[in-house]
Amino acid sequence: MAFTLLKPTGIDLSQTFAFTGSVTGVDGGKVLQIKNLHSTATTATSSSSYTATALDLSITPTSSSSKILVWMSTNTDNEAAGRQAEIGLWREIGGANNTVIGGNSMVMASYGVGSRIVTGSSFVYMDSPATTSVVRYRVVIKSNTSNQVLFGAYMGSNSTIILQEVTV
Amino acid sequence: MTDNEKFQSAINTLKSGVQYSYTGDVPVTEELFNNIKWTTGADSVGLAIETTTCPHSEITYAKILEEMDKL
Repeated sequence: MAFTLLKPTGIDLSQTFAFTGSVTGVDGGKVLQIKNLHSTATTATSSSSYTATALDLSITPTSSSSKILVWMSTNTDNEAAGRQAEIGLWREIGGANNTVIGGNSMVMASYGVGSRIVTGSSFVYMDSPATTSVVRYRVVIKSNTSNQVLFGAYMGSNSTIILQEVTV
Repeated sequence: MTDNEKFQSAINTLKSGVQYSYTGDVPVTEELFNNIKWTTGADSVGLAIETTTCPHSEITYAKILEEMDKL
């Protein structure tokens, strides 16, 4: 005699369920932890090499196989025609091995051939630090003309960096 | 003309091409001026090598103020 498995037609969500088995067939990543920092500070620079901004945040991955998803949002101002800000992402692992990751420039911002331009600037980057030591991320900025450019908040707006430890 | 514009103009008058950075208010006080990070070079990963001791003899807080007052 064949048995027929009757599937429930509904679940009473007011009840408590204690699962003793495992759920399979579910794919996709998870967010394991989130760190975030808001800043209202503005950084001015005429440096043609990367200099630090106030967006400086650390995270300690729970697994060396975790990825770190980095989100950054700010404003940039080239202050005058022909100037341009370049934004990068600096990383340090365990207090050493510092490097600029994601290419020489994550964002080329606010370039105006004939005018001043103030605009929002952002990037998203998926990093693989392969460590369980503390990982420090700093958003860095430089000027491509050695003339001053501005990075950061205007009129009370926030600059933000968010770090998400994720599995993919 | 804003303090920001005056500061940049004063720096460029005293010495062109000077590389610096600061976070926060425009350095119009001696305390803020002493927090300016002056770029003296770059390391192997492209980060600025910086010092808060101004390496440019042409630039002092007094000279910056003097130039800003002319504007």
